[in-house]
Amino acid sequence: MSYLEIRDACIGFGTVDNRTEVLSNINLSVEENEFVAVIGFSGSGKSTLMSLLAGLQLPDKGGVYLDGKKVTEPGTHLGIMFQNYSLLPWLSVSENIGLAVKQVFPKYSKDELQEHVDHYLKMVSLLPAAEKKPHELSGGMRQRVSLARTLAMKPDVLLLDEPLSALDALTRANIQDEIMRIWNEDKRTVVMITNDVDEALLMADRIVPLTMGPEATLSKPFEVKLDRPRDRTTINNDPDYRSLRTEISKFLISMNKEAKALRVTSNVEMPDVQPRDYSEVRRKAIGPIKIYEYEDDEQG
Amino acid sequence: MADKTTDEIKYRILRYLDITGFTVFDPIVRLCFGEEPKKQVESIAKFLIVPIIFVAICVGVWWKVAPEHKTKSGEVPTPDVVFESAVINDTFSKREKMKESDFLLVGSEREETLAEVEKAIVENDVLVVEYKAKLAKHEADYEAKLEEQLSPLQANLAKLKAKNKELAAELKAASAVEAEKFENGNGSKEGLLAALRAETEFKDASRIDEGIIKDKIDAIRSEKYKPMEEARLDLSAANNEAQFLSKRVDFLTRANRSMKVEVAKEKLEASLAKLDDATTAKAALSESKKVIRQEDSITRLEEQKYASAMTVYMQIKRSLFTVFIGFLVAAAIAIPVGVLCGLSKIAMACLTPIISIFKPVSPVVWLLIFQIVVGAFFPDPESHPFFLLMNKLPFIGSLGVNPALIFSACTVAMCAVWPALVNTALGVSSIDQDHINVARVLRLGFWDRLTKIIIPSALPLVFAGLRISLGVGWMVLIAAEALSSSDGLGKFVWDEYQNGSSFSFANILYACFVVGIIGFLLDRMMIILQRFVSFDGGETSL
Amino acid sequence: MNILKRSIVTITAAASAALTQAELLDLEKDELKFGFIKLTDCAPIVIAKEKGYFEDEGLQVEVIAQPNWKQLLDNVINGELDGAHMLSGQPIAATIGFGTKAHIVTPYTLDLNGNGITVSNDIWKQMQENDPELDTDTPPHPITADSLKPIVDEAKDEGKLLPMGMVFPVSTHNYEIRYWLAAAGIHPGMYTSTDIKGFTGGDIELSTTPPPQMPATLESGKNVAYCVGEPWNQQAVAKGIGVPVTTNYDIWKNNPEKVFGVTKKWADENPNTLIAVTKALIRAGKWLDETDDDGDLVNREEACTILSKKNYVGADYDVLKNSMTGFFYFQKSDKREMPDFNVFFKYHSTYPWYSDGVWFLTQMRRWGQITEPKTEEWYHETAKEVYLPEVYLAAAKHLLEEGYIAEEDVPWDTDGYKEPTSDFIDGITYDGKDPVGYLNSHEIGNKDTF
Repeated sequence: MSYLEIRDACIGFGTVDNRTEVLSNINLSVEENEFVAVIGFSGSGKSTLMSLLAGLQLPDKGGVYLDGKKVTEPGTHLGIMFQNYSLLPWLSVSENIGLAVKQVFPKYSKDELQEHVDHYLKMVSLLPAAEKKPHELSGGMRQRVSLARTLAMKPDVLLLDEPLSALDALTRANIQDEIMRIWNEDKRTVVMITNDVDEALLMADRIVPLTMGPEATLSKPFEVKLDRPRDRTTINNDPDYRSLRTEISKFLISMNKEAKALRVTSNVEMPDVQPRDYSEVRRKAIGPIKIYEYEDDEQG
Repeated sequence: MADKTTDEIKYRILRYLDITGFTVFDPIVRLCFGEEPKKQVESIAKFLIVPIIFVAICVGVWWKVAPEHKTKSGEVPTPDVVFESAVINDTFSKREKMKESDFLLVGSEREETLAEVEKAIVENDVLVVEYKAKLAKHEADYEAKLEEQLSPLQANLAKLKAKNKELAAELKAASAVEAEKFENGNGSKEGLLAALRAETEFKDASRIDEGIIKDKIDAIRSEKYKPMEEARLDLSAANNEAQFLSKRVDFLTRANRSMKVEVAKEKLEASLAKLDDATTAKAALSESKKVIRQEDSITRLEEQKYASAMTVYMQIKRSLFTVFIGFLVAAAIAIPVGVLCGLSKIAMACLTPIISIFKPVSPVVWLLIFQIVVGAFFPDPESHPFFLLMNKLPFIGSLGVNPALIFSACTVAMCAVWPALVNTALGVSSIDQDHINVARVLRLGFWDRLTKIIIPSALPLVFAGLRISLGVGWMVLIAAEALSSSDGLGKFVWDEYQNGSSFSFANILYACFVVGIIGFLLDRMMIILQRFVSFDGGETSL
Repeated sequence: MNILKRSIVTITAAASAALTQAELLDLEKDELKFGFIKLTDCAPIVIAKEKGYFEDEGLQVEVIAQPNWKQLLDNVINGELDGAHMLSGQPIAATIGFGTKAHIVTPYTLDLNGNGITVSNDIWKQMQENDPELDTDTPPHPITADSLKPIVDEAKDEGKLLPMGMVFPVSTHNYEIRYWLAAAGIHPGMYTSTDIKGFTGGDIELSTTPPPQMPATLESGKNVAYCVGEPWNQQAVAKGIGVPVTTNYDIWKNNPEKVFGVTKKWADENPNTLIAVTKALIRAGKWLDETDDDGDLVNREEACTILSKKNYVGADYDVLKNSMTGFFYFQKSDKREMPDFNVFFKYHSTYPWYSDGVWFLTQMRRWGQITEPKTEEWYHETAKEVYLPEVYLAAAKHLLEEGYIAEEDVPWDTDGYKEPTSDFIDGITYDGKDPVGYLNSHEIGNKDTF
């Protein structure tokens, strides 16, 4: 039995007669200290999957198990980092983190608490902004605060919901390295959701694609057996890397076509998902594959 | 370096303007610091000068139009009359203050003031005589003028009346003749009816003719003779001054507290002396009883307070106190209940019918209900421990807390509770799902969740609600005070309406401005508070 | 007998003189609040304050305007006020439980007369048409309601009851306007146990309006006539919205008008304070009625200046002066001398006469406010429960010793009943000792037989 497991999980909405499944028959096993990346299109139910893992939502069927125990409620051991930062706007950066730390380490003295907070702020290079309010920060800075908060809780499982989506390429690279370093230093089980194949390849041990919704499910995983530590500057030249990248990209594109075809014939009522023009994706296929997405939370 | 500090000062001032919502003055500050003068001048012209001109035009229109509209209670007062009424109110409260200080003056200060007042009396008496003479002259003028204008009209009227009477008698005789014909058997129905009709018609016509002249006479009589009116005002002002000065003399002499105490002390000494001389048990007993009584009365006199008449400033203070009490009560009810409603759908469902039914109820109805219900708690307000306590408190005691104030405050609370409650419920129920998720992940307990997540997140909306509540409360208060005759601005307005004096209308308009300005300041205060709690640094509406 | 009585009074007065000579009474309470309605007849209370008579007694008094008679009475009952300027009928009605029940007592009658009946300009014109004698600048007085009757009848034929106003169900004004109407055969309506508005069987509808609003109701057509105290009749003249047709001096010469009322409980708890207050009021009354050698009232102008202050009556000085200084304007052109329009002290008017109380009780019975027939004894006993001549006499005694009043200012040895009088507009004789007989002598209204 694996450390973190989802077994036959289904989740959907609507009444019995008019039901739309968002996720169906999800099965995923994550070993302890494994780094798994889930890659999928927008609206395929990635965030719902993350909610299931974090215990914020309970599946209609099946279940999530951590270390053999069924997850029934969220908690600090399942450290989720939300896609839209979820910082409390009335608290300063350091108070936001402090609130979480205090919950996890209630016995900390004031100084210890401050030290702990500062440590993680330093890690994301935000120490100078400690007393700022979230609305005074840029989107990227907020995301870093959110990451620092999640890390500061020292969770058993780190659930990262598109943690780097709002960052510019440079910062993104830095944080990727940071996450990798932390993961190396202090082995942790990580499930990361991303829409960036390169990012997934660089960081994960295993990449699991999520098919298009509705009734999204996880398809066959791709093992990433590249050596660690992986260097972003040289890895591009690695033939394994290149083949794997092509394979995954192809898979994703075919999946998209399939879904499109399916959607034409289907007269099932759609969930609240906007149809998108994915031709963009093909044109960009030469560069890093990034699935076009509306970022409505870019600037808060 | 110097630049930096001036910049700092500038931005500090701008920040204050921003917080207080007086951003219109922004360009003036910037101009003072020499920042882009052209742009500032332009925006001053647009957003300051133009509005000022507009208001000035409004005042001008008021000035022009008001005297045109004549009501039974006199002309609509012009701005200067309203200003005069403000001055009169101010004088009234100054006089009360002065009398109070006279009442408390002691020693040589008292004597000096007394001398001053006596001198003023002599001066004022001269004025009174002068004004009296002036008034008498104007009155005589007026009489003469009236006589001159009226006598021809009255003569006309008398003539017309006599003539009409004559003609009426003739017509009556004619009808009588027609009627008599019936006796002779040659009466004609038509003839008699026509004669009678002619008689009635003539009566009506003559009444109308007479009415025209009477109306003219009335109009002349009700015309005001300006010099006489002015002389009257002067005289009554001087008379008032005389009355005030003689009252001051009273308060500086026999009604002065220290003087009264002195007299009482002398008496006490006399009684003590008598007690020493007492030879019989009975006499000693009765004298010592007297001594004790006198001692009591001295302590009482020493603590005696001046019984001041209500001045408009005291009424403003009292109104503000009442509205704040009501507002705080409203907030104390609205916030917890609103949070409860926002948190629990069941609570919301339970309270919705109550809120929907009671929210639209008029403050007048609430006032009457509270008067009956709350009144029952204070069967004897004079000796009720609550009021005894309230009236001992330093500031509050001077306001004279009484049941009427409590009813008014309750009415304010009742009407002000709804906006705050609804907004709080809305604020709590519309809390961001992400924030709730954070709370769930962190496994915050109920209390932490409430204080760290729910309330802070709802605060901006809560304050927006409180701001509306305070505005509503202030509006309601004026009506409640008028009706419950709880001393305050509402009662001021109502009393003025009831006084029906020539200054009443101006006083009512004066109160209108006072109420408006205070309401505006209260609103500004709430805006500032709202700004402090709004975490997103967003603008608040005007 | 009388001589003996008087000497007893003098002896007791002399005996207690040593104790009380010019010395503050042993007050139970010295900071007092009195309520009043904005009418000129609150003058004694205001004058006692402004002329320092209360202070001479060691009292600090606040006088507070009340919005209407009901609230004034409620505030006295609930203790918010210590005492108040009241309608004569109020203590009696409260004591017998018509309206709010509470035992109210009075040691002092504030004034006589002072009311008027004003009709709207329109009604006045019609009255002039009905009675051409009225159609002059100075019509002969008293004006009865005879010329009003055709107007009332005509309106009634059209299915309309003319609306008229008075200030309170148990006010003098109510009884006066009823008396005036009934004397001309206009039925003003009866109170019954179910009709507490007093409309039953009436030719008109007489309803309650607070005094200061009277002119406004006339102007708005809510009332076509009203009976009210001053300055609200003069106000109608000044504003040109109505014509006072008669005063209550014509309806009943020197009728009692307002009293100073306190609760029985308060009177029992503060006996000396009550005497002190009464002393100050007697002095104020005397000051108000002071005359010079020619018989002209000398202090009234000053009184008007004081009353015109906004915290008292607040009306214009000139309006107040009209009635207070011995004149009354019936129209702008019709200024008449009425030296007794307001009597504050003359004719032993301030003494709390039992016969006054009995008259009000007969009127309450006449119009059905008292629903059951009552025996003669009941009238006398009730009057004695309300009126406190002993307090008045105690206060007067002090004042006599202190030299503020003269021996003849006070009816020392009366039994509390005035001489029978027929100074009514309809000439019927009132003898306070025969209330039931008096009741039965009227055509309209309840009559009792036993």
